Amino acid sequence: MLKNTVWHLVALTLLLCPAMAAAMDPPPGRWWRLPKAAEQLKLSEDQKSRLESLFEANRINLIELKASVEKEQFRLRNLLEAETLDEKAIEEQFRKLQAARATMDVERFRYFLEVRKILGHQKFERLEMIYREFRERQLPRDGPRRMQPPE
Amino acid sequence: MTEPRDKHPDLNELLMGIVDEGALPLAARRHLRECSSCRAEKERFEAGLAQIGRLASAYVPKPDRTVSPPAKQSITHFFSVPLWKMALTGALLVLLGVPLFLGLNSRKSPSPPNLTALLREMSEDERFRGEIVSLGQSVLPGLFLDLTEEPDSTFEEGFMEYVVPIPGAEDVSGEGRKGGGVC
Amino acid sequence: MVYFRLHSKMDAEDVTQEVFLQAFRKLAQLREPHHFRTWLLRITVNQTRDFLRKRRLLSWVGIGSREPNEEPLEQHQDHGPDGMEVLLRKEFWELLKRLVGALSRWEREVFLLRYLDHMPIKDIAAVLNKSDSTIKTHLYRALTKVKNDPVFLSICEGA
Repeated sequence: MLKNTVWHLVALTLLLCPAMAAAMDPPPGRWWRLPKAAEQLKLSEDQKSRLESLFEANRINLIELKASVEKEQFRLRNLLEAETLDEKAIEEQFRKLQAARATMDVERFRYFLEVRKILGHQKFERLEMIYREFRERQLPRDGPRRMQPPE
Repeated sequence: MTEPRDKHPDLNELLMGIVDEGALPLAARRHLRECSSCRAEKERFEAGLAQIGRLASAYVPKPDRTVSPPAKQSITHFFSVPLWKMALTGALLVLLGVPLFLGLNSRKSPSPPNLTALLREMSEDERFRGEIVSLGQSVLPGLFLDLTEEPDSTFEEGFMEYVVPIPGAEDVSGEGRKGGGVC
Repeated sequence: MVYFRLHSKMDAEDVTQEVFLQAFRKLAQLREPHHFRTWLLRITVNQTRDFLRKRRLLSWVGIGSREPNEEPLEQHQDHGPDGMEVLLRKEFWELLKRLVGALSRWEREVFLLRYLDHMPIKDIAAVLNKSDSTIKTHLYRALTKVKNDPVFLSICEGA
């Protein structure tokens, strides 16, 4: 009961902070299979194996939960596009859609958390640093100067 | 110079006028025609935008290659090959293939990781996660998402927002909204 | 058009070739020939987007190394007029990347199509398969961000 309450609170937080929810994801796909990633993070076979199992289970869940959200969204859209608005039905459907989204977000968060647990503190920090370096390489550092087209 | 009767447009109206002057209220449109300083401000911004376009056209490098149409594939007439030749080729392949197969299987050589397939999967997963993020961020059906801020759902940006949050990056609504009179 | 998004001559040539190859292959599927331009531009926008996605992933493959297809500076790094021109060109593309980097995906695409590719709103809507009013909304938001960006203000001073 308490565990469910905690997860619901997490989902509520994620719903209220969409930016945070969006930012929770580790890299896509099976990134640990990349030779460079394994080399720089020095992942053990056990860690890779656990990441594989986690990824498979998570993706299957997300596929099903995504379908649920899309179904509820479709139902809401139908209600909104009806000639006569049934406000009570719309509100009820909106709540169902919110619930489906929350469940999906919880699953995303769980994946992120499990990745963090598998990597451990140091390797997760290393992964963050790699991305930070990668991002800094993308942005130019010079300030703006006057530009003129060639004569 | 006669002062125009209507008030000067704020930044919102100025930008709206640049995007689509027809969308401006009649009074604002009239003001822009009559007020030289407001018109100058608008034209200054438009000139800056035109400058970007000019510089881009001037600085784009000339291509070295020309586009070549795809080569026509030659059609192999399978049935024009004599039957005895096909049989011989097949027999040779079998004779060669069996020892090769046995040879390969007797060694436990590790297969190299299939990077192309992995990258393809990562790309598909990124697209999938982008759809999840879109669904998670807006309760509105797809029709209405067109008018809302669609997230640029790349893992690079999503992850970096987590790692190095950019202060004020999400909050652009306050920029130049009220009290931004231009004259 | 492709170069404005990729900032690499080599990659732009590759993607352009790919765009035309796709166009050749799918020409039979084009039902309305008078929509050819819009159709071709749509292929271009999609191909460019796919290429950028793949390039990002390839960068992740080479963690700690330079970005693939990063072209080295040209040879003329002297004080002559050619050298100056090369530096100005490089600087412009870096500044433009920074300017549009602050925009969301759709704001960026609409901004580039409008001001670098010089397309009217109606054509942009057709290429991106969105309504005119959606395109105007994205453009308006892009201009709101661009107007007060120091990078843009600097370019404005030269206008």
